[in-house]
Amino acid sequence: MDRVPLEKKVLSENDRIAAALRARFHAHGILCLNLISSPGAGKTTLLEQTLARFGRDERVAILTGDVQTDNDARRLARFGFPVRQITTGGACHLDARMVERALAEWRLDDLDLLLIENVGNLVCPASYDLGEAAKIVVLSVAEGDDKPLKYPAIFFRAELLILSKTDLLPHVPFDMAAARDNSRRVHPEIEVLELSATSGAGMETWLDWLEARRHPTPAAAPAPVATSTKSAP
Amino acid sequence: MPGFGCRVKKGSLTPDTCSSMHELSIANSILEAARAEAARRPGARLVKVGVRVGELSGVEPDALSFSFEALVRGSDLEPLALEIETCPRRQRCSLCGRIFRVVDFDLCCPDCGAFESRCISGDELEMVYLEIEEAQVAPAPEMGLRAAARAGEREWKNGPSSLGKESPQ
Ligand SMILES: Nc1nc2c(ncn2[C@@H]2O[C@H](COP(=O)(O)OP(=O)(O)OP(=O)(O)O)[C@@H](O)[C@H]2O)c(=O)[nH]1
Ligand SMILES: [Mg+2]
Ligand SMILES: [Zn+2]
Repeated sequence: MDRVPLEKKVLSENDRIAAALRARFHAHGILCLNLISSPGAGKTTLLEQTLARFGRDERVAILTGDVQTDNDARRLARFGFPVRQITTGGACHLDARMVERALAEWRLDDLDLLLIENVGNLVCPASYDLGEAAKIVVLSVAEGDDKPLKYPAIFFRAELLILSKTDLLPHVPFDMAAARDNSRRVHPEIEVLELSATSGAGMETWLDWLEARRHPTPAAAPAPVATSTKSAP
Repeated sequence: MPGFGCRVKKGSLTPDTCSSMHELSIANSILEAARAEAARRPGARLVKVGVRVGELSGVEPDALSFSFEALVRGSDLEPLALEIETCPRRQRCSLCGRIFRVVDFDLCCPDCGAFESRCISGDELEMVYLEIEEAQVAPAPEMGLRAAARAGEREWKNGPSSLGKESPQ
């Protein structure tokens, strides 16, 4: 019996494609963001409200993943920016190859912002690198402030937590301070912002975050993400 | 199987299908990687695959074992086994350098009480080893068997008639 050592990532094939995508985004000066949440936390509504606030000359495109239907793509296409639906036909996450295929018909030179709405799921998408510059996790106040502790993987990997649907706060038992605290216990460096896409409260802060992320001044460059360096002594 | 996601054939998995959807796709990736490795060693049989799963990886070890068994059962890889090594989260204190295990998301350094630290492990999802049984009967007799089989095939193709009327060469 032989034991063959194999030090490699289980998802190394996905990671390889994602690394190639990341290099392409970098070469074309594209900021790619991967939005992740449980179903219905408000990703599409947030994107709609974001596109509604963009000028016509904005060089933005959207990829939206769903298990079935192209509802989200149709909702987003109304704003006149390029939108593509990725229908996974069963898979509950996007992977790098799906993104690579979806991008095949776009001229990356025409873009400088690519927003990816992942399939509604707080677990699976956390494992799949899509070549994004940052993952953003959206948690609606209707879901409970304990979610960062229950689904730590995505909060650990996300650069930004958006607490959404804040207009519902009077109607649901959700402790903002506890949500922030729980997310920081999982990921001390995570940034947090609150908004309601329907009332518009907090949308400016989100657009400011986006703007700062797109054009980082050297001083305001994003802090390195807490990644594991397993081999450290 | 490119594009294989966290999908389950209807009725094929019980009792905790929902929580193992994700693990099923991870199990499939492990099998693909193991297959690729085995393909480089003709004649070898895969016995066991070892993986490392961090507690921040988002992968449930139990659900992963369950999914792995479900995929292997009845396949050409049966009875391939999976060994999972789970990795707790460890942080290194930025002030005193102490490495400590994080329990209950408590990021306070047990030595100096500081809260500034860096995560150094816990998000692993890695292949660690493959246990392989090299062709036990040594390559030579194996090839001998194949050659014999081929010879038999030739004999059959030529048919019994070749023995009598016409010489095959
Ligand atoms: N009250 C309130 N409702 C919201 C807000 N944002 C979204 N919703 C509602 O929440 C529901 C789901 O919103 P979507 O934007 O479709 O959520 P999603 O995350 O894209 O959903 P999936 O793509 O299916 O995962 C819809 O009925 C929205 O109208 C908000 O800020 N406040
Ligand atoms: Mg949506
Ligand atoms: Zn310390």
